[in-house]
Amino acid sequence: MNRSSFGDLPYEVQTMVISHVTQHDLASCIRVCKAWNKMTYPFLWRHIQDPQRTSHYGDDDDDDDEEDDGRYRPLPKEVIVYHPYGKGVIACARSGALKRNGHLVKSIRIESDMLHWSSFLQDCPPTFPRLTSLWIDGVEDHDEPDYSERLDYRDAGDDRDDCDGGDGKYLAQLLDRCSAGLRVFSFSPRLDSDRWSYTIGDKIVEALLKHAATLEVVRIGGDYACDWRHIDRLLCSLPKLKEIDFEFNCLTNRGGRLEVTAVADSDWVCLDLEVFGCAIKGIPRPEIPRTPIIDGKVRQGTREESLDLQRRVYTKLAKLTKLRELRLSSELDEWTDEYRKINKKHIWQYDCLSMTLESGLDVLKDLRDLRLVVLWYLENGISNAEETKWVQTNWPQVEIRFKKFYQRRR
Amino acid sequence: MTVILVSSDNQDFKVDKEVAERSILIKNMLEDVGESDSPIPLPNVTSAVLTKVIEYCEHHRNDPVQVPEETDDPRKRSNDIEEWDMKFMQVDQEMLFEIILAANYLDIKPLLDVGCKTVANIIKGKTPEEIRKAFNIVNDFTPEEEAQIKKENEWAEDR
Repeated sequence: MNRSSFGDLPYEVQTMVISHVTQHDLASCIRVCKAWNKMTYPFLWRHIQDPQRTSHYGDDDDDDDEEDDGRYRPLPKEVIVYHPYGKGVIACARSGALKRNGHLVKSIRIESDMLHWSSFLQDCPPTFPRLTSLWIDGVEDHDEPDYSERLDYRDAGDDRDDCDGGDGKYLAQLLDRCSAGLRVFSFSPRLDSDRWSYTIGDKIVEALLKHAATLEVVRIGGDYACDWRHIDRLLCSLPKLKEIDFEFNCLTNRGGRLEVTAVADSDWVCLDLEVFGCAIKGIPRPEIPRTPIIDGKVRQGTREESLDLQRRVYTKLAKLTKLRELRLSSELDEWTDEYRKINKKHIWQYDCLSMTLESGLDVLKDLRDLRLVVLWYLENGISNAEETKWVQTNWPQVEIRFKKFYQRRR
Repeated sequence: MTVILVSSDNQDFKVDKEVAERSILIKNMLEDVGESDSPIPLPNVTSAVLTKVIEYCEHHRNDPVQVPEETDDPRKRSNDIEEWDMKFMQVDQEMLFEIILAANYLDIKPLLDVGCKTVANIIKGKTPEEIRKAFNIVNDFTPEEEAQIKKENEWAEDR
């Protein structure tokens, strides 16, 4: 019998092998020989992504024998290292190759500090007929000519309509080119300046709604602002949605949170939701003792109003019978220098769900698939004696991540 | 209950039905034939390879049917191979390809998967020249052609 070799494998088995090969190795495969080039080329273009960025902590005051004398020292700053210039998705676009091979691409993952929207779009093909997943995690190019994309930064929590003429138009254009219908959309703009944040407004939401027939995952994070009406609109218009995640950074006050009335009263169509990740704000909590700091952060309202609202929220969440993760706040990296300097009182959320039995928590007991509940920096009663007992009985399989704010308790 | 499998070189292998049915091909055959003691000829599989395949099926006889997961996230795709499987696959390349061919013929999806991942791991981290050497492939590109392809796809290289 002849010696078996790679070439003896049936073509479909060869392609099964190649489907396990990473992008970096595919770049070698296409150079092996003509037959390999032909076979592996579509795989190289199937998923195109930037090399993963890495980070380390700067060691400018590299003093190993430093004693722990209890004195405050600023932590070393985290340094994010992006992949080298000339590699990755943007370089690929710039070389013209993306335009030629866009029809092969099923997923794009950009993780870059050089995102120059308008020129990137020029380098993209007019349509991506197979693209179903789009991840963008990037710092915008400093030379971005169109500053109308960035709005003056204001509190994301304001009840204002924060969409403006030129805002988000490039991203919307890119979304429009994904003619197959997106399944996954993950977007995390990172901006160097504290003064600006990216606004997720009408343009982007409208563009996303065109993918309503397919969209299953929407994840928004990073330095952005989003009015609650836009989040609400997505929940009311995307029936296929399985995961929605809007990060809210309480340190920088950036991100998006849902207004409680939207949760209580809106007609959500995404009842197959498995991950709900969005902070809910605007619940009156008259039982919380007011201090000047807290006062401005708690909505006025009577105890009855508060309990009624909360019960309606729990009732709405209980309809999401496939829920696996309920994230009502975002976890933060507490090791950042910013965090160490800050008074926790300022970042605690006081107009959130109280998560007590009195407020109707019991309505959530039938969420059988629930595994994770995140309640960081929320003024809630999940760890009170009665609630702890309830959790043990009704949610034995649920991991609850929360923080206690000891200073406030008397 | 046992069944008898006959390799291409006419060796009989007596195995539990449950083990043999890890192969969808054999499972379907048995269903078509019904209750029967007649041996099943496997003209495409040598006894050396069949021994290995049966060893695999014995070890995995109680595995649940796996649901292949198609993911668009390239970072979630995993080339992880269980430790036992990894050791099992430590064979010379000829045997590796024979096992893959047998798994494909006998329709044993998990074994086929492990085999493909093992080959993919051989490719991992190799230059084109090293891949050619590993699989005994002749380069039919001219140096100019190869340079051109390299240049066009530099963006995909890690560093």
